[in-house]
Amino acid sequence: MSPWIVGFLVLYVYPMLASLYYSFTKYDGGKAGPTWVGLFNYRFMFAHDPLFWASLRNTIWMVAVSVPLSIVLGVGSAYVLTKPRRGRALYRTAFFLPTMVPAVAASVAFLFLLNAGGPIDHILGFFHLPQPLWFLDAQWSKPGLVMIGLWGIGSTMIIFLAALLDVPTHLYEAADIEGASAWQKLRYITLPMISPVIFFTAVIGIIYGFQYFTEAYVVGASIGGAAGSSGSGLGAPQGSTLFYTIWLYQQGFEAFHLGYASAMAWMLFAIVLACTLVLIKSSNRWVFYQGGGFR
Amino acid sequence: MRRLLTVAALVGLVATACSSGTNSAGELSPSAQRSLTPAACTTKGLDTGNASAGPNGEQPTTIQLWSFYSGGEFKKYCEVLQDFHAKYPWISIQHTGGKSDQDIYRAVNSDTAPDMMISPGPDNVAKFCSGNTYTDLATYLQQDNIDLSTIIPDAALKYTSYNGDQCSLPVLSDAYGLYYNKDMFQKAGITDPPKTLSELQADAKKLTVFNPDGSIKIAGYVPLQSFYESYALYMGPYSGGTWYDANGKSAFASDPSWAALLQWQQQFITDVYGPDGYHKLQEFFSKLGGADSEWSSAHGFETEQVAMTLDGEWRNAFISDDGSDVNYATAPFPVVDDKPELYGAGLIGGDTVGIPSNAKNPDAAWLLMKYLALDTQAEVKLSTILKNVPTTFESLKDPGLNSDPHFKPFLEIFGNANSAFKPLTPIGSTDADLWSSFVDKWEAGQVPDLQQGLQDLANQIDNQQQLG
Repeated sequence: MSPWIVGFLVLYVYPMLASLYYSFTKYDGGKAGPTWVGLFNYRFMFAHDPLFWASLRNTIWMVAVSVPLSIVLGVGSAYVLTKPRRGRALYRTAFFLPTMVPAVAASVAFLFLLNAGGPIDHILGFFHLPQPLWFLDAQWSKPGLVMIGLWGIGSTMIIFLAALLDVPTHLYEAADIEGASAWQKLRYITLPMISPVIFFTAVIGIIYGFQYFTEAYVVGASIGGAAGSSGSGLGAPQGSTLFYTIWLYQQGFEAFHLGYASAMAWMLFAIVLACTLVLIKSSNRWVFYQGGGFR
Repeated sequence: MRRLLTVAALVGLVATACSSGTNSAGELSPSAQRSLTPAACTTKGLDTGNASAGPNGEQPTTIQLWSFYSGGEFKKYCEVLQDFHAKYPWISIQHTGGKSDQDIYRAVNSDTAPDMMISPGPDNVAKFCSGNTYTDLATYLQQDNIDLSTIIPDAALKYTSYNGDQCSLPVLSDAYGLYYNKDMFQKAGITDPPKTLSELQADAKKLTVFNPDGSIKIAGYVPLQSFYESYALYMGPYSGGTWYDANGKSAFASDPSWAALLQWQQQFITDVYGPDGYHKLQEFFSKLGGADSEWSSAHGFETEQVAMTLDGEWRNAFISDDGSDVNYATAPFPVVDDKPELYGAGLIGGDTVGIPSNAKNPDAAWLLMKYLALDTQAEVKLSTILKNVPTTFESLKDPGLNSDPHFKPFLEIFGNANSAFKPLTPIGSTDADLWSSFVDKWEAGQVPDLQQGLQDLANQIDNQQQLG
C-alpha cells in the first residue's frame, strides 16, 4: 500500500466516516462518548436553530455576490495585464502581491482602512460619496468583506491570464479581417475559449465560498468581542457576518456540540455537492472545449 | 478506540467545514493560531534521582502546567512559579503558555493532559466539572481540612464549581466598575459618581458635548453593548436580572428586569444623543478607532472623549502604561433605580485553575493549586504584578493593594455579596453570546416586539441546552 493511500484513508476517509457517525449522535467530545440520537441533530438544525438558517442565508449571499464578482474582476484584471508591452512582470507582480498577505492581516488592515475618519472614508468624502460605517453597519459589513476578498484575487487573475494568453491569435486575426468589433471578439472568441477556466473558477469559488471563515471571524471578533469569551456578539454587527462555518465552529469548538457540528458539516457537504452538480449540469450549455465543442 | 474516533472526528470537522482555515493562502484556523504563540518557562529543578530532596523524602517531580498567558504577563507569572519552587524545591514546573480551553479539553480526552491548567475564564467550568475533565477537589479539601467558604467569596466559588462539584479554584479575577473623568465632573458641577441608572443618565447628559454639525465630540456615557466593556452592563449584577429560573429555563422573557433594562437603554440613547443617537454613537465609536482602540492609547476614556465608562480593574494598568493624563476616579457602577441595594456589586470572573482528571502528578499539582489560589502572599504578588483582583478574603484586605484609590473600589466590588458571574451551564458562553447578539439587534432597531424577541431568545437558549 502506497503512503498516499495510507494518508488518504487515515486523514480523509476515516475522519469523514467518523464525523458522519457522530452526526447521528449527541457527543461533546468527552470521555462519556457519543450517544446515538438518530436524526435528532438534523431535525434540530431545520426546526430549532434559527442561526442555522441565518448563517446559511449570509453564506449564500456571500457566494452569490463574491464568486461572480471575482470572476468578472479576475478576467478584467487579467485582460488589462495582457496589454502592457513594457513592465509586464512588474504589473503582474503588483496585481498578485495582495494574495501573499495573510487573510488575518488583510482583515485587520481593512478594519483600520474602513473606520470612520479612516483613509477610505476621507476619499469617499472628498468625492461627496456616502460614507458608510462598514463593519459597524449590518448593511455594509458583507460588502466590506467582499472588498477584502476581491483585493486578494491575484491567484484567480493568474489563472485567467494564462487562459487569455492561450487563446490562439489567429482567431482574432480572422475576426479582424471579418470586421468584428471588440465586443464581438470578446463575446464570440475570448469568452468561449476561456469558458473552461471560468467553469473551473466558479466550481472552486463555490466550494471555498461556502467555507468562508477567516476574514469574517476576524472582523466579527473585533466588532463583537473575542469569540469564545462570555458576551461576544455572534457575527457582529447584528449577525450579518455570521457565516455557516463560523456557527459550525462555535457549535463544535466553543459549545462542544460535536455531534451537532458534525451534522452541520455534512449538511454543508450536501449543499456544496448539490451546487456543484447543478453547475456541472449547466456547463453543457456554456462551456466550450477546444476540439470538442460544447459538452 | 474512542479516543481515536474523537481525534478523527475533530480532524474531519476541520477538514470538511473549516478548511478555509487552511486555505490556499496557508492561514490556520483560529484555534491553531491561538496555539501558535506558546511561551515556556521552567523552574530550576533538582537533579532527577535526588530522592532526598524533600524534607520528608519526597521524590523530585516535574509538573506540566498549561496556561493561556503569553507575552509579558507570562513572564511575570513565572516569577510566582519560581517562588513556589523555592518553597517546594523538589517540585519543578514546566509552564507552557498560549493554551485555550479547547486545548485542555482535547488533551484530557486524548490522555495527553498536563498536570494543571490555568484557564482564562469560567465559561467552561460547568462542562469541565460535569464531564470529569477536571478532578473534583473534595478529597483534597477534606484531606487538608480546608473550608473554602472561609477563604474565598461565595460568588467566586460559584463560578469555579458546578452542581456542588468544586473542580476548580479562582486565581485572580476581573471586577467591573465605573471610571469617571474628575475634571469633566467638576466642570459640569457634578460632585459624586452616579449610583443609579437615572443619575447616570442625568450626568451623561450634562457631560456630553456635540460638535457644530451635531456629531458627538465628548460622550458622557456609551451604553452600546459592543462599546469596549459595556457588555458587562447587560450581564445581570447592575439590573438584578436572572439568567435562569428555578427549573433551569432561560429567564430572559420571564424576568421583567431584562426588558426594563433594554427599554431604559433605548430611552437613554434618545434622551442623551437624540433620535438618531444610535447612528451618532456608532459613528463616534468608529472615529475613535472602533473596538481595536480599546487596547491602545486611543481608548476614548484615555483620550478624554468619553467621560464615564464601564471597565475592568485592568484599565488602571492600561491608563498608566499608555501614559494617559486623564484625571480620573473609580467607583461601583450605577444600578437600576428600584434596586438600590445592589449598589456596590459588579460583574466579576477571572482565571480558573483545575487539575485534569488524568494528570500524572495530581498531588504535586494540588500543592501548586493551593499555593496560587489560597496563599495570601502569592495572591497579593500575582495581583500586584498582573494588576488583577486577588480572590481570597485575606488578600483583598492587603494594605498595599488598598492603598491605590483607583484600585480599591474593585477590591470592594469583588468582595460584595451581590457581585457575580453569569450562571454556569454546559453550553459555556453560548447563552451570553446569543444574548449579546440579541442586544446588538435591539440597539439597531431590528427587534420590533421586545417581549416576543426575548421569548424567542429564551427558546433558543433552552434549545441549545438540549444539545449539551
